[in-house]
Amino acid sequence: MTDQIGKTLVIGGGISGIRASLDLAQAGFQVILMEQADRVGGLLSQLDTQFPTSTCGMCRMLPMMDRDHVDPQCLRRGLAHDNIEICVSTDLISLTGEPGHFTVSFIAQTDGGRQECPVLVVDDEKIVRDSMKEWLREEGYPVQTAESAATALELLKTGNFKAMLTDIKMPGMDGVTLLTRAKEIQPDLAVVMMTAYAAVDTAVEAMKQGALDYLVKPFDPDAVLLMVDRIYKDAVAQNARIDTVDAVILATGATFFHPDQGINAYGYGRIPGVVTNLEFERMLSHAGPGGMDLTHPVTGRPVTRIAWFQCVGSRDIQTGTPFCSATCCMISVKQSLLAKTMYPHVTEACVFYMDLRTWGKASDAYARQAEAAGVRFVRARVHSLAPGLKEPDGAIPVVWMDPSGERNQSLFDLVVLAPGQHPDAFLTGFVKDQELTADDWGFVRPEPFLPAHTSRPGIFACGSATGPKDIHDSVTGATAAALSAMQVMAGAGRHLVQNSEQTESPVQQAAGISLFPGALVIGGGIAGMTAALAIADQGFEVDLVEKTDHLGGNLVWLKKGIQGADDFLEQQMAAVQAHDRIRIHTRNCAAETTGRPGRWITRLTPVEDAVDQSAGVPVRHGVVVLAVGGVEAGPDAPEPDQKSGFYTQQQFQQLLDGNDIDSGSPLQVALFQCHGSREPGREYCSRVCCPRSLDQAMQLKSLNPDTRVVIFYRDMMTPGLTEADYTEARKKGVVFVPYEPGNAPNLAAEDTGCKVTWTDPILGRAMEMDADYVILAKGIRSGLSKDLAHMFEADLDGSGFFDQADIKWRPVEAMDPRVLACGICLEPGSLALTLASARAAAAKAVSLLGRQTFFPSQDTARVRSAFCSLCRICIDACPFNARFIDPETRTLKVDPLACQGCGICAAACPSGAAVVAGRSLAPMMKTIHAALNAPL
Amino acid sequence: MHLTDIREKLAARPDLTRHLAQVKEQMATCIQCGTCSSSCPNAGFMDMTPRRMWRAVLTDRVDMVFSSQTFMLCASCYVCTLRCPRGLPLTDAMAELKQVAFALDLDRFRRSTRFYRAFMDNIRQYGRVRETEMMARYFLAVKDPRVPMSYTGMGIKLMAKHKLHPHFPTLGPGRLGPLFERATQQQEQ
Repeated sequence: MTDQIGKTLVIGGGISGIRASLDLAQAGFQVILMEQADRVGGLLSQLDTQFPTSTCGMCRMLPMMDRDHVDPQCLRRGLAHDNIEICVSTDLISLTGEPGHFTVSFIAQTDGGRQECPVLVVDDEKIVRDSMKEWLREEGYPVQTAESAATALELLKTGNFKAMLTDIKMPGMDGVTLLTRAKEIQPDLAVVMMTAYAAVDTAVEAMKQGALDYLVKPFDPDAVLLMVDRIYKDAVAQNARIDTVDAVILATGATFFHPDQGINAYGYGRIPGVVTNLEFERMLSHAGPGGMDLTHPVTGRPVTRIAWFQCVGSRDIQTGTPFCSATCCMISVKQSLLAKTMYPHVTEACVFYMDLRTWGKASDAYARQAEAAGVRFVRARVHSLAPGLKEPDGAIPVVWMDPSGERNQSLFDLVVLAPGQHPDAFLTGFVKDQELTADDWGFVRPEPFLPAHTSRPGIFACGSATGPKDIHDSVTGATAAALSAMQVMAGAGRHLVQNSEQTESPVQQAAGISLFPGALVIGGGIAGMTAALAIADQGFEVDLVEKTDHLGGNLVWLKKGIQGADDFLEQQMAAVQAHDRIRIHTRNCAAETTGRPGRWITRLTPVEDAVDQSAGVPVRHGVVVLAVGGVEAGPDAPEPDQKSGFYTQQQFQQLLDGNDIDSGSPLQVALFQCHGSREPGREYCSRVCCPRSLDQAMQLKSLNPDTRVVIFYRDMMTPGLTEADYTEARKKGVVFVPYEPGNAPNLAAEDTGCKVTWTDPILGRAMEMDADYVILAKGIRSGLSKDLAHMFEADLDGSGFFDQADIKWRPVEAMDPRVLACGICLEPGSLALTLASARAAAAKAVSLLGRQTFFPSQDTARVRSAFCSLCRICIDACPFNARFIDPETRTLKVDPLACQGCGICAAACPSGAAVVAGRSLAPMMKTIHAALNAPL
Repeated sequence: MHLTDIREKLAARPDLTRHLAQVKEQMATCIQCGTCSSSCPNAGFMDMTPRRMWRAVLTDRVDMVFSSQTFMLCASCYVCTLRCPRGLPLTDAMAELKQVAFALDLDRFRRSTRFYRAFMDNIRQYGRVRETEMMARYFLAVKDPRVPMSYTGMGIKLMAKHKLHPHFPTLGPGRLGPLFERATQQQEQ
């Protein structure tokens, strides 16, 4: 019954949309992937490289199962999957309904789309006509203009216009008369009046005479486009395709700020050599317009000096952007590193920044790598640029001031602007039409503790539609959104697309492997509980192991510091305990595991009996979710104690929550960020400490506004919308003092309190305070042990967290997709991120367990059993543990979920029994031969 | 020396303390990015960059604020206000500091204060500036013979080019009195 198959509409074909679609398709649901542009891939199809690998890894997103159903193998070329219907160049006309039954209508732009909706613009001012024409053409509408009412009437007689936008006050015939005449010629013409503020009355009058609406000058492009979109949608509604879906995922992304908007202080578009980071990315690209030659756009000479400017249209009230765009710092770090290392002629690469936001577990090390490669990082904001009139080769003089007040000037050939992310016109319109709750800036606001849920049931959101996001957070969020859609479809009683195993040949059937039905979740914190609940809700058995005697993990001490977390934790704990598919094993740990991946038998033993080899219960499971969490990093050396006022962030949170702070008289409090973090030994940013410190600082200020609160920081890590908290704290009078490593404030413990002394970098003066409390933000240490990771063939990364298959593209799984991780053992992050990764891990687990049996694909290695002598050489050679001897049939088998198709087995096999399709000996030898003989 | 001097004077004037607190509140969201200082055309002549000035305001270092000439050198060109990413009213805040400094009547601003006063009185009286008279009144007000001496060279040059008119053309009284009164009233409110 086709109509009973679960179906989801995904709006937006960027990486978030692709990820969510692939997850749903893999799980066996049908997807309509809708995209306004003429291709999928979004922004990422224009980026050749991503950090930290400095390569493109987009194809790593492709599914590990049913690989033959996906084509092509490069996502930047496009996407095809049996279960995904891709509709590019498509406009959404309307969307109504409720979870389990949404009616969606949409139309292809090429098929009676925007081309069929010509617009006539009538205005006596050339600048208005031209700019309107440009805006509308860019959106795909055919546009004609007329400078007077008379010309307009001539055009209307010949052309078949759907909409007319007309000025009211024009020499000769005015707009209102034109309206009446036009309606005589074409009664169904939609007419929009354009008017200055002063003449709104006339416009209202015109509406009585049949005008559809009016726009007040000066208008912004978005308002014009929304108006024309409305007319267009009404006009084509009868041609639109109508479909029914169960759930909707909004993945429309964001748009970039246009640096030539507003005051354009950096002269983008005026000064040759000022480019955006996207344009620069294309200059670096193999497939870019310059063919990778990094040359000046005007002089054509090799570029030697490049500057990057951060926060263009981010963290800037003047451009209406009080938030941080979260991704631009790392984009610039990446680009500067690439420019410096790939091009010997680049002698100077210099990044001008306010705070270098290298949040997350891999970013900080990457920035240091750039620094080591010779990239200069300058903490300064350049106020504006002017073309260098006297400089040779059109070099641009850049002037900035360092903290001490010294004025500096350097010449640069290229200035790369890092423009921020803003909500786009489609999102603004969608939010309005669907009455979604949005934040002050127009991004969709997720429901509390449900990272992918919007305020409308059944409509989910992911990616930058919910605020500026990087690849990693987008991909995680998209998989979490896919889980939410799966839950809706399961709730509506929908089925999966028929399993493909019935179509497999008997040979393949025999080569298939199956998983034990059930999941093992290790760790009973909020991540583990969320994952366990989501998996169990989809009908699978879950064993939840927790080493302490209670569930809740870190949220137990943190719950009072996060609004609503107290109730949320209670609910989740009650739900887990009441669930009949979840077996909770508190005071237990995983002692050892036997069996192949996917057919694990793990022995759980009470913590105290872990050494006893015979104790404990064996659990059979097909997937494992590691959610062991983490702890606040402890002191690396003996430190003064609480008598002198020293507290860690966690200890101080407990003081605050217990109302144990006597703030009757104003206190002096110093908060010390990055204490032991982002330096050798713990080279990563824990992402949570800056927001937590801001929260604590504001709590102290609200206890007593006269309390002196000083936050010592290296870079305030308040990416995305959390920037608002940083601004709020400054408003409340919290003082922020930046410090550099090696020049940290001096803490001298005294009997009661601590003397803090420092040199203010801007005042250049020695400052001091007698602090009642010194709060050390130490960051998070992973709780994942090597032994546990190795038990499931996974590993730890350099920082001690779970080593993902790919930090950006496969963020919640190990190389073996059956080994999943979530929460802060995966990476340090906020509660929202933990919940997103937990739901993403659950989505992955559900689609694996739902499929159960997996068959080899064209890309995986195969075995010609007749030639195989079971010599085991290939088993030892395989780096992915994908080959094993099936004890039942005594044949060598390949695990299709683990095999990466690398071909090492084929090279190692002495008898030619291991083969990889398409990589047989003769063609490979020819390829190698050709490569060796090719002229360099 | 300055520290106690300024602090004492401020303590005696709660209205000015309040005024300063308002300036501090206006500037609270400053992120010390330095855009104001690098965009300021006069920054090179200031003993302290605008950024340092705001930092001193925000950290309550009134001694540093009022031992500097920075706000006196503000030309009110508004470039910093246009460029500030936090959208702070920097030029206006400079003007507020000027007002506080005038009201405190500190010695170090004596010349600036007297000059501004002579200028405004002149405008008020005639509706325009009569340079010769304004300078004469300014010299009388500073009560320091070294000041007129320092202008002698410039005076001679101007006189040689017939730019100085020792005999005033007769002008009637200006009509700006009510405007000044209104402004004072509004400021008090």
